[in-house]
Amino acid sequence: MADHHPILSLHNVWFSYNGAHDVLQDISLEAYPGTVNAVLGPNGAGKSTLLHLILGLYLPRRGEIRVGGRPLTAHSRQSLSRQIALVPQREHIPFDFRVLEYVLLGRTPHLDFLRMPGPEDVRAARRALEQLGIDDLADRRVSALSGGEHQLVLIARAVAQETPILLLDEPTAHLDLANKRRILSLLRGLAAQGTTILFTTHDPDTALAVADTCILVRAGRILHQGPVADVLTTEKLTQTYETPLRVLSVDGTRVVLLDFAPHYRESDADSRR
Amino acid sequence: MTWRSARTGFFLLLLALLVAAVLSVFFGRYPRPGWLSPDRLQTDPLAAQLVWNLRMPRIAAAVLVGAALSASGLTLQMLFRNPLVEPGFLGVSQGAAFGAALSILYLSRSALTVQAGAAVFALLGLWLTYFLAERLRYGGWILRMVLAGIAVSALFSAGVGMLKYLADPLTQLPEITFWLLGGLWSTRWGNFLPILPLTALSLTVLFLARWRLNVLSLEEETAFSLGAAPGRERLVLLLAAVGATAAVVSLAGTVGWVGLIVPHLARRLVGADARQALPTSLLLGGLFVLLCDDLARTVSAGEVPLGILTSLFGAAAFLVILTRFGVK
Repeated sequence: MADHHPILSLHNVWFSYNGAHDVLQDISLEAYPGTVNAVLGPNGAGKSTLLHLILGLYLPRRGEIRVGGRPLTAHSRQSLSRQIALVPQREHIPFDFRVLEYVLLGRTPHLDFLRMPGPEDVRAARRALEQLGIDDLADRRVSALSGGEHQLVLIARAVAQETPILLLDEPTAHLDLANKRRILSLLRGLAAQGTTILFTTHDPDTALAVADTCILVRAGRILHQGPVADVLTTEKLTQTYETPLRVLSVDGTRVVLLDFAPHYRESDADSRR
Repeated sequence: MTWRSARTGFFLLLLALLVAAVLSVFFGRYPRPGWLSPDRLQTDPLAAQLVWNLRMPRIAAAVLVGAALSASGLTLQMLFRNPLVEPGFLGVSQGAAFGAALSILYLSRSALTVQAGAAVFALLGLWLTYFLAERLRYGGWILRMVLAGIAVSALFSAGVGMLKYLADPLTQLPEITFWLLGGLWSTRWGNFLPILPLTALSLTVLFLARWRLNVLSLEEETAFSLGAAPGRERLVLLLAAVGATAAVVSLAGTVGWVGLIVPHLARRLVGADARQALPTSLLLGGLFVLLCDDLARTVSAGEVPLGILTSLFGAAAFLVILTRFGVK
């Protein structure tokens, strides 16, 4: 599944917003081409900050981030934006662009300064829409989209950027089950084409459903990381979330349940699946 | 809207503006209210003088004022991710008026000094509004910015009031009063041409950077991930918008509502994409202020201040848009 060299790596990265309190402490991780990597942890663990560091929005206090084999700081703004695309947690779009116009904004890293996108860029934007199966939305206004469509359009904008690395901040947090499934299988599809996916989530089931590797974060530190099968266990998740929960196996699929009832029966989980 | 129809609409608008400008030359209160025939222009030397020295610079100024205020309004709206701002709502226009009044009172009445005073205080007004909006402890970003803008504008208006009180009622006061109402009756080639370079430069920058406006209207982290340097690029575009506003305010005084209503209309016509919305705002703004100014100089023997007319039509149109379609 993996290339020999990580396309993205962090080496002992420390970060602090104010110089006093370290929001991220000693973070090291590697992501390989064509893999889906989940950063999992409770709210406020520093997951979004981690994405912002990889994006270059903030610089680490200590340690090094490497993108495509080169230190992040050796990249120009434009070269970095051709390597890494971001789907933010929320993107409020105050002006009522049409979907195609919005997705076209993803072509900006490929334009010279003050140049407008050309026909080739419009084709790339349409390709992105087709790839996500939402080409019928091209002429819709972004204010007229449902929550699920909105999220798909954000991803289309990032896909149109045609970068080897795609970061997503809580991509399924506000979605219903059908849309969640759609987005997750889409992420798998992108990885199959060679894109490296790194996404944050506070929901273990999301990571279980789609990720190859998982990074468990709590209070700015990595507690565990590795293949999903090794990391997403009752013991390690309970430690990460500091709340009783259980990982069960239902028909060969793992599910995570909050441990409300001490005598929870597995047959119940079966019937509710 | 397809690219082809956007282009057609754009040329229609350009044509409308040109026709309106040409007709405005023959429209006025000489020799009697209404139409001045082209024959008369050739036979009556006074009419020719009047058209060349008064009407033409005034028409050019009206178009420039409208274009500059509208483009600045659209730019500020996109940079602040806030469809409810315009130079007059952000302390920019009132700051410029205060700076201009201060220059008239204590420095000199030369065009350059007045423009400089207007520009400095326009920037100060914008900075104050932004500074306050970040610190207000009430409401979301859009509301905080509007509230801070109201407060800063009121502050500068009070400042202008104070200056009026101190001003020499015969020489300085009329000039200061002019800033508050806004109007183009004192426009000649002599005071129009000096504001042309700064305004043209600023508008060129905004026009060339209109794709960046789209990018900068996105969430900060998204704009950054697309390779923008949001801080630096915002500053350049802000300076251009404020520069254009200060320049035309130093000529026309505070002409309200243009920067708010014209971008809204433009977006309704051609959509939010600044590639189309910015050029459309430029033309539509020029047309709107030109028509208002035509009315201002013809409806009564004494001139109606332009700022009053733009506010009247602007506010009315704004209410219609807001109640019928919502903010776009």
